[in-house]
Amino acid sequence: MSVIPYLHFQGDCARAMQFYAEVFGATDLRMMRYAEAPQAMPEWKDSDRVMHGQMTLGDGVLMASDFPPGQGDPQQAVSVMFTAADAATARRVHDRLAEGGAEIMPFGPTFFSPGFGMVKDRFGTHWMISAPMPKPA
Amino acid sequence: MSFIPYLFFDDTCEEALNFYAEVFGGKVEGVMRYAELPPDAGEVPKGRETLVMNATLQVGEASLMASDSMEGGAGRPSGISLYKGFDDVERARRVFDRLAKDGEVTMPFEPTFWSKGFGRCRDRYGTDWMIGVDAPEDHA
Repeated sequence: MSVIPYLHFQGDCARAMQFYAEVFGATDLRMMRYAEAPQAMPEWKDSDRVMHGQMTLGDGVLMASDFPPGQGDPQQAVSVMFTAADAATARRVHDRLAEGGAEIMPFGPTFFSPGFGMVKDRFGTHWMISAPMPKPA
Repeated sequence: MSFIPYLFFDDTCEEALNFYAEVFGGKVEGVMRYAELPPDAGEVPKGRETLVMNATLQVGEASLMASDSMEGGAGRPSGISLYKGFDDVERARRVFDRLAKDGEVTMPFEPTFWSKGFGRCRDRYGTDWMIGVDAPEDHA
């Protein structure tokens, strides 16, 4: 049972989660809209904002929603760390997430990882993508 | 392979992780400080040498990673929460109450249409938590 990052968007949740499902190869993306909630507030009825969405990848789950209609702050001070099965996959994931977004730290070897990069993607999510780390001695 | 939340603090990383270790019953591991940064990896601002460059909170198989931001000014976390589910309602409620103490309850812990117990709070270090009771099929 892991601690699961829960991302909050301002209307882009569905597009972002579809993009992540494609990048990471998840096949079970599910989303529920605010309009579908039992006792949905009147101002939610016409909204296509996502109340809850999630997808699985290996042992990991990523969850997300849109803020309720009319609310929201950009993401700040939290990133999502993902360690890929190998360095080539890590680089590919990093490069795809950077499409239309901003590279914060180009993918390459560092003192702590054989391959590591940081990206702010086009939906505002901050990612740290790494190749498998060497086991501590 | 999993998605691990990585939190940035201004200078309370160690205190926050120790608090989370106590609340969840985990252990803080691999604490590296800015003083240990290799010379070619950047210059640490004066006064921030003892702050945390990287640390992991390990709770069973679950990890949470965090650091103090190198330059400071990480700001108040927003736009991401951390979800932690439990099998047991009372355990979830206890964890929620401890996280919320001296923090702010944004959604009181109570039954919802999706969970036998769910609550949301911002703890004293600014982290936004969602604590819930997992439905049995979530573990399938």
